[in-house]
Amino acid sequence: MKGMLVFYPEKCSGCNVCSIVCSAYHLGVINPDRSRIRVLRKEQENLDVVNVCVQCEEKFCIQACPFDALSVYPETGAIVVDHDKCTRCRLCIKACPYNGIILDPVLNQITICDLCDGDPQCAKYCPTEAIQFVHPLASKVAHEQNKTIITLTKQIIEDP
Amino acid sequence: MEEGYMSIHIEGGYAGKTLWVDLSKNKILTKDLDPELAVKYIGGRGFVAKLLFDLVDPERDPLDPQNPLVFATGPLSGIAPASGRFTVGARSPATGIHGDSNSGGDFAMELKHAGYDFIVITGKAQEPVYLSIQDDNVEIKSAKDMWGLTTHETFDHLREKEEDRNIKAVAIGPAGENLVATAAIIETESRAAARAGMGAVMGSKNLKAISVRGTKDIKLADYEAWKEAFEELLQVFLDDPMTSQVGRLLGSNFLHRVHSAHGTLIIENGHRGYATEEELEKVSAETILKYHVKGRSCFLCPIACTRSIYMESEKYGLIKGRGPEYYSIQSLTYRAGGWDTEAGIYLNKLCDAYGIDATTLPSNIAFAIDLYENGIITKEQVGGLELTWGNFEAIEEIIKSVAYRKGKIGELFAKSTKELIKEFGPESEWYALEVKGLTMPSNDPRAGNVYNMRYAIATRGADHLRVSVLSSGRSLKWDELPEDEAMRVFVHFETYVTLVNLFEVCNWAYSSYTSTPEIAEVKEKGMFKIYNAATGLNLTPEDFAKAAHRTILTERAENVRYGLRREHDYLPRRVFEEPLPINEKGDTKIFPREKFEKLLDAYYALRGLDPKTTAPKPQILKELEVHEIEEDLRKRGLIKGGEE
Ligand code: SF4
Ligand code: SF4
Ligand code: SF4
Repeated sequence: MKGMLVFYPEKCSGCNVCSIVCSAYHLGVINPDRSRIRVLRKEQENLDVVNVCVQCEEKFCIQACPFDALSVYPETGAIVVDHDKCTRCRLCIKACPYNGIILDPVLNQITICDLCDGDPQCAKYCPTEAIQFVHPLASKVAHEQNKTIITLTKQIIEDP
Repeated sequence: MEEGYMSIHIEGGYAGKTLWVDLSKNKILTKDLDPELAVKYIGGRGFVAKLLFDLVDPERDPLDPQNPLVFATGPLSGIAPASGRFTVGARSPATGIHGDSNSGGDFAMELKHAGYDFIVITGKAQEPVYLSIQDDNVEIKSAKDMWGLTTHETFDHLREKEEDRNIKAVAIGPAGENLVATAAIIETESRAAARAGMGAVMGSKNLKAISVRGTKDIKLADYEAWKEAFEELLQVFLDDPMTSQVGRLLGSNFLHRVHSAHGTLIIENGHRGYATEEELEKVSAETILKYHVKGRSCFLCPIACTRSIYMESEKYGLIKGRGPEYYSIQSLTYRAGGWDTEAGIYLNKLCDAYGIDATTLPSNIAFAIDLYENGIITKEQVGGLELTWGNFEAIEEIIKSVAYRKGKIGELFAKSTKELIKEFGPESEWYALEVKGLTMPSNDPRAGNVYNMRYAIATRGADHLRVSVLSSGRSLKWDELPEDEAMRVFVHFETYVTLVNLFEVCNWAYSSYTSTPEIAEVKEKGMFKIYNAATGLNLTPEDFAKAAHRTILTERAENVRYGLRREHDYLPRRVFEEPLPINEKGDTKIFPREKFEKLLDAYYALRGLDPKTTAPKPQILKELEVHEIEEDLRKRGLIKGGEE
């Protein structure tokens, strides 16, 4: 199914279910650091936010890639990485304001949410419905909502 | 059978390595996890029990530098719903006996991802240090610049020093540094391993904090089976209103009303077991909801029972972050005779910042207030404080003084409960609600007799967490059953909770918040299934029950070496002699002493303990294949006879 992820920070309890099911589904192991979705928390400020590709309108990553290694997979709308073309320059990681991209330390591969081939595990198992998979028709609202990820991530990372 | 353990191959679930740190010699060692230990003790509390038994020399003082401090994760930490827990253990400076304490949060999973199932720390650093763990890079680093900081400040500092905001940590505050008997260990700002004075043990080693960052995989032997079990468990938490509604909307604070209805609250140091509606309107789950922003989860918890709060109080200013649990609120407010949620939230925050057990110190204060109000002690004896019921200013001053051992007040309340009894004289003993030196947190044993045998038999002192009533127990007319039948059910629950502790999943999630026997069964089976799916082993329910039994007996054996006997499995005298008002109608309850002794005998028989010495009998030690414990106790003359 085609759709996109949308995130509601006020619902998120920081439980990390999303990050472990993501790593388990793709790798057969549990590792939040290798997950395509990661949870940032700031306990004293009651803040929790996920870092994940939210299929943004701008596609900053594709724009930033000098080697043409990234593209949109038409079936799902997720970003796909052509590992043969990718040089691991990490410009995409820098360019994504959602912190959505990681370099998998074991596989040494650029790793981005693939929407689990249309059955997003994170949204399926999130116990609070903080992360949801929504129909493309709702994408306008979803894109707007997802901007909170950028603000919160900055707030958590930049503030000492 | 011994060789049988050598051939065990564990494919996943566990991290596989263990960390041994000697702070005196500045030495760090890694060893493989012993598969025999894994299978016999499963993890967490079980590992702690076995390691303390093996490594503590009972001749040494609790704060002797050579004594070990153990942090242990469980095989389910980080891979099952609600599995953010670890157990920390040492010979307790607060009670002198087996000490352990359990905390939630994210520390356990981070430690496992760094590759370690447990850490054993011995020795004492010459100067304040912290342990820095980044996967394989483990270093003892200076913490001179952190000594004296609150726990919150320490975590900020660690994030900067380690140049990583994703570190997880445990730390002590000033209370631990100053060897306060009720010093806690605080987990990355969100949780506490509060009881039994573990913070003081850390302080005695000059160890300010442990910072962990782990990026390794936790392997799963059978992904499909794991996934199935994980999904089932998650679903059961989402379906059961106890977890998805009560736990999530109210957190543990829903218990104020529940316990009041059962007449088992501890109000004014145990002179009343119920609260009036007017009182509950001042302190209960609803009053905290006013300041509630959202629920916070420990690792992988679908419930999120921790209250994240935002409180702008005229009196106490702005307070944010983790809010109080039921037990700290009750201890900080009505146990000391005051009904004010804002005060409870504020004082709880102070305790967290200073690294103080927000249950035990307040119960010591309530005890002192009771003595003061009854003319047993004078104003002079308590450093000039007006120790009246509900005097929150006095409580605040005590907490602040204790953290730094400031003045007479600080010195006095830095003491353990037993030391306080000694200080206040023999007449004071009657007022102390403690067992083995640890105070009881809420749940007065006069209402609900059988259930509250847990206080008498728990190996770390008056502990409400070693036995939890699952749903199947709630409808049970426990107190009306014949003693041995009642205790059979009791032992069943004790086994279940012990398993929860060995796997290191959450006691609340897996036991207290459970509404039907069917759900309890799904949870139990789910734990076993995840364990076997992750490890690739095939342990049976009997194997698990044996591991729980082994753990309990190992803790018992440790305590017997410290000189504990039947007379230490007591309840406070008041419980047998002073009727407790349990409702507004004027009904009262008491614990019949005769019944108590019978229940105790039934318990010993079921657990294979000698009814006089409480030492595990040779027969049961053989059955459970813990020959080394038998040998040790024999050598010390603590078991005799029973040889084949
Ligand atoms: S990776 Fe980042 S930049 Fe690229 S599409 Fe996803 S959110 Fe946008
Ligand atoms: S949709 Fe799938 S790949 Fe994307 S973050 Fe969620 S679980 Fe991971
Ligand atoms: S699973 Fe949901 S609630 Fe939990 S951390 Fe992820 S988004 Fe937040």
